[in-house]
Amino acid sequence: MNWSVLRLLYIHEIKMLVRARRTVVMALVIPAVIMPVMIYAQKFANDRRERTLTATTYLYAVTGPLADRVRSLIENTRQAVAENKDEEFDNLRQFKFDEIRLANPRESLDNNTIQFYVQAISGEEADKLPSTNDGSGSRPSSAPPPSKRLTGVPRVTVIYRADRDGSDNAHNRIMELLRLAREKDSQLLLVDRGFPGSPKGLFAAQDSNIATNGQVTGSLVGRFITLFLVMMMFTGGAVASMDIIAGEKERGTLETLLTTAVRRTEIVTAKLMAITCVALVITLIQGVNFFLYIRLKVIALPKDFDLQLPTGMALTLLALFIPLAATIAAVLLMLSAYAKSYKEAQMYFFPVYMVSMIPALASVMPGLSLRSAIALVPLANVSVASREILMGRPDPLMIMVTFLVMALTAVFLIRMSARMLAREDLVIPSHSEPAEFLGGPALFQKRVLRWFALMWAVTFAVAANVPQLATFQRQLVFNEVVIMIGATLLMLKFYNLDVTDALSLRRVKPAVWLAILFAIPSGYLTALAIFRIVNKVIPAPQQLLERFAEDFIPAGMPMWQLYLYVAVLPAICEEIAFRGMLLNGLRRRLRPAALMVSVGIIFGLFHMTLFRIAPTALLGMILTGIALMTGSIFPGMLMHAGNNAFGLWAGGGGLGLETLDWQYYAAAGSIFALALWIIYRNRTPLPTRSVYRGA
Amino acid sequence: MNAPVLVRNLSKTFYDEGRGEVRAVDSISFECREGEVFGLLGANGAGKTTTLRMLSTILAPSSGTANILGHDVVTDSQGVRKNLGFYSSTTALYPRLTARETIDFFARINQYPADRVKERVEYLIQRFGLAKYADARVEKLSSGMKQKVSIARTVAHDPLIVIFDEPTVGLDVLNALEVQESISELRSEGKTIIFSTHIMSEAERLCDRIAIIHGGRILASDTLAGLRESTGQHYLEDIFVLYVKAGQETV
Amino acid sequence: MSWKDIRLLYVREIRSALRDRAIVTNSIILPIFLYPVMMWLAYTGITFVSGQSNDLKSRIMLKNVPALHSSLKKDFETDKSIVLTDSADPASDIRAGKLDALVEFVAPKTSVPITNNFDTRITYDESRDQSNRAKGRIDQKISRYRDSYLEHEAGKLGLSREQFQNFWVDDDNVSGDRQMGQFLMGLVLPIIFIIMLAVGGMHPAIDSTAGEREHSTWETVMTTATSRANILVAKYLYVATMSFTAAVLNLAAMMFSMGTILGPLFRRRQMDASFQIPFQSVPVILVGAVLLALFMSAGMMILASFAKNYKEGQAMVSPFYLALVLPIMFLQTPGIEFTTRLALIPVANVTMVIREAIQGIYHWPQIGITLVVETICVIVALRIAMRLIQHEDFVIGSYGGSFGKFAKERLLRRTT
Repeated sequence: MNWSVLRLLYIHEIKMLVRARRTVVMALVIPAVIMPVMIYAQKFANDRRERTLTATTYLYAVTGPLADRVRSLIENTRQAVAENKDEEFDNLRQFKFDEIRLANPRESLDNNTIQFYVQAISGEEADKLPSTNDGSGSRPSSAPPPSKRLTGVPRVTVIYRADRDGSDNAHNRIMELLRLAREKDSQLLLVDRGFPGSPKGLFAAQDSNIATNGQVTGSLVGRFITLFLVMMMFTGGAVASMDIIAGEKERGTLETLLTTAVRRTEIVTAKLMAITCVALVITLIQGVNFFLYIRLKVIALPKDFDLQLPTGMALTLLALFIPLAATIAAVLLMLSAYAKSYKEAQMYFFPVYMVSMIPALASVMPGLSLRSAIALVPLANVSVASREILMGRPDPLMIMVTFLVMALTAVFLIRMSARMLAREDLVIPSHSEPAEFLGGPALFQKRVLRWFALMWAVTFAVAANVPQLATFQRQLVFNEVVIMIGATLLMLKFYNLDVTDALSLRRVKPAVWLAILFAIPSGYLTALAIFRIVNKVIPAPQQLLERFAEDFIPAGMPMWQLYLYVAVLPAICEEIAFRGMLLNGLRRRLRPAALMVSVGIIFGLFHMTLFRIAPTALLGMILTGIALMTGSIFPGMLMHAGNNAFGLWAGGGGLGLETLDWQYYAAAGSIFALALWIIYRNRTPLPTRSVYRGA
Repeated sequence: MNAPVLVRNLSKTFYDEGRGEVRAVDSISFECREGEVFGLLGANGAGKTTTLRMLSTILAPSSGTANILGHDVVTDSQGVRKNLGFYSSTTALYPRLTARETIDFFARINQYPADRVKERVEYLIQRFGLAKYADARVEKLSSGMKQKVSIARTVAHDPLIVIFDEPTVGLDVLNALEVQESISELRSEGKTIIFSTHIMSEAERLCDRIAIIHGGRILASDTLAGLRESTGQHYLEDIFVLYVKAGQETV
Repeated sequence: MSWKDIRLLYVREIRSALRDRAIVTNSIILPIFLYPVMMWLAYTGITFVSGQSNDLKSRIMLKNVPALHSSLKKDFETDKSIVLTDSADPASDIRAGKLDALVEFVAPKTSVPITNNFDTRITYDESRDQSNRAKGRIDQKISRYRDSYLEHEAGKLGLSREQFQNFWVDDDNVSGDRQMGQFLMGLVLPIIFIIMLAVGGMHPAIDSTAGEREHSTWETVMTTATSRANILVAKYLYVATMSFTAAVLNLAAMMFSMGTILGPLFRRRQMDASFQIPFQSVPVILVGAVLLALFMSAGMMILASFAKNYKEGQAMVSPFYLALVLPIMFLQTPGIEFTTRLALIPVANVTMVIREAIQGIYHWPQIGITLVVETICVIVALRIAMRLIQHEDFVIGSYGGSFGKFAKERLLRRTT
């Protein structure tokens, strides 16, 4: 790397950027205007709402045979609350409400004359009514779960309209009041009967919080700081990045630059530095704005907010945020390198931006510690690390690992950007593609992903909205036959594809079949083992796993039908669609490893629930690998059907394969590896993308 | 009979921030005869493009008149454009339309009889050799193909007057020759063509009459033979330089 | 005005637009998929995080549990979400994250002579999620234990369980499914609807003006045998169409996905909601959307027309887009009244009309004022556009994309 050339290029980039005055003004002015307005709008709206709700006097009615008792309870409790200066009763003290006597409270509620009414009925009457709920209503999660109403106990019901803000708010307050009234009344009953002392004094709990305000604040801020920075760096960096390569391509100046005596890596590094610089400056300005808003009280901070940032902590954070900025800049640079124009770059920006926010939310997840495999996941590691640092509990070794991972990620992305500058089709945007003219299989390769995106969209939309297909069998048949096979037939016709070629309907060597038979159970166990390992890092919630099992295996279905729907049908239809059409559409565009990952992930995405995506994607990758090695979908069909059937059989038989000892998984892994090796030795592959590297 | 193109004392003044008022075209007059190729020959900044933009009604003259087939460029601009085809380096094609759609669109929008548009489009496709690419989007075509589509859309509505403003700029020798051939063919169809260029050989090859324009003024207007006789020079380049120098001395 | 020419130009614009990936993405794909996908992700995320939180076992240490309250200790032992553990230095272990909470049973502070009473001191670390969760579980257990102890004591004092329960408090939401659905949609949909209107129209507006200059097709169309007014009207109708289409597609997509994605969330809170817009409100919503689309399209096109290329166009249009969208952020909470004053504010008025129409509420005077105000805005914008297009330097794209320069040179100074 020639540093003086790098410096020259970098200064050139910054100069070009700064001279685009309008862009610079927009990049600085717009966020500086939007953020305070949005924050202020939020505050204004909330404050206004609070004022309105607090200033309103809510009208209500009381009905039922026990109305008088309820009235007196409400009155007494109101007095007690008014006399009690405890902060916890502030809400109730501000609550203004008046009773009015009405003939038809329900009608008055519907026409908004009253905000709620209280119906108090005797125990006998309540026993006759069907129980509609167990009294949970909308209660805060910290409150103890309710017990049931005992037979013969009078029932006091607050009837309200949740579709009206006033009614909903009033109902919350009166519920609080009534529960307090009940508690006090019950305590009085006890005292009257001779309970020694106030029941309030029973089993009192004191809290002893050993965290300092600084640590609590650090934990709160740490949850979101990485997300905030990622958002700011992305939007700030985009100002420079959209134009830095994509715009240059449009103007034709990229070719000019590429014909000079500098290396592509130097060009890319200089552009990266420019994007990083812009991103950091804009982020810094936004950060300063943010502090200004706090000083001006536009943003209200919670009580006891006490962020402590000693120099060491600040420097450590900076050390992490610099590679973060470089990584984000590298992502933006790759986007710009890939796009053919400024407009196209912008189009790719939004989904990439949204996807990048997901790992940045890692610190929101409870139970994640940096001392785990999360340290190896870019962005997520910075998120967790910064939270731990701000809490005052840095893990130096893992912070170094995080730094290294981020630095390596940035370097990797830079190299990929540099490689993109070697691709003619990306450097020269007007490069005409013969596929457009030739049509047929050539055009199919370009369009195949769009077809699958459309298939996914239709599957998703129908699953979400057509109740007639809500049963397990119907949904499966629709997805497999109508979508998978239907789309396959359409594609074959539209692009005039040869069926045998497009679907890889080829014979394989006999040894492959034997290997598949061994691969079925061993592969299943190996996948289980991988899943267990992953689960240690990011545990999947038990209830979701249970729900996954429920969705997958409906109760009460005859076994033969289960095997047909769960094993045979998906194996045939999905192999035709994914390892047939999709694989053949992509195999000349991607190298084998990338093919396996892409086809696997796309296959996984068709299984909608989040926790089915990962294991299905893994199966998809294995099946793709087998299809690539054998040049046929038939072994994959057997593997797929066998895998699903094995899972059904093992789950139904309660074999407990998820909790085996590790030596069994190791043995299964070895057998699986052997099976794959046998397939490899007997391979009859299809041609994939050549490994030619451009200049 | 009146000449199809009549320009009398046409002027155009721009206001430039740095230079103040700039007279880009200074009281020029000329006329084009039916079926001829009339060349406007001048260096960059001479006023060729401004003149042609006034004739095509993109710009309004500051003073003077111009008539295209009896339609005034100011008072009847639509009538002018109906009978005019304008081709320039600044008139590009819509990238997302196919070649066929482009020609069809321009035929219709220039009010070519609707019942004959399809036939006209097919004729132009065949004539300009676009059959293989007729249904490909313009953005996918090479520059040579784009140029052919561009000429086809210029004459899609079969105008009697066609303006070519430096049509061969940026083209290679073979493509430039193709453009020149197209212009010759159009002339043989009886169209009146105004052709601007700064390439002497093009003007020599194509133009029936040549107007030398410099500093917004026409310095001379005659056939090549006439110009040679007036100046005593043989090569158009020498003729051009002579007039320009004389023009500068006059100023 | 030749409607035949306008139709021809309009069809060409639409055809080009439907072949432009950026426009199709922003005006069709994004409105249909963005919010449903985001809602699905948010729902999955919330479920995942809350599931994580619920599943994490709390490591708790109990110290000095009174023998008389061994049932409380048993409750802790049998709870699958709690792991009882011991520690030599619990405070350090809590700080280090090896322990989540320490519960010490100490002598009660109150002077009240309740036999068998105890106080608990719960030591925890508020900065750690697991510790907070553990504390919550402890509080719950002790509260339940207190309740059942009191019930038992009440029994000893001659109070039956029913007497001690005293009376039962619950609530009943009598809003219909539809009303709930409409209320929720009314909070969310109008703002997203307006944003989609703006986003859907922004790219076409820039593309059909600045984009044409960039591609050098502006002069090509200016030399055709149709008037500038026809060209402008066709472009304008095209931009308004894309804007309106984006908003309507988004509305439909949101309605579908709210039912399927939010439905389960509400059922968990024992609420039911049916997400359907009242049929009668559809014309009101559509008219509001059309007027707003016409106004926004005019404004964006005017600003983008000064730009020489797409990037400049975007820089010109963005402030206008923000000026339109930011005010409606002030309307995001429920309970805002649609007053006459609000009806006079463009964009905000349409937001309120749509919100109320979704809820089946029609304040006709305010709706009337809204229609008038929006129509005036559209007419003013169109008149400005018509005036601009008379200036040829606007046509050829002078002033470097600067509206300010144009205003200074053209509107404030006379030139020949």
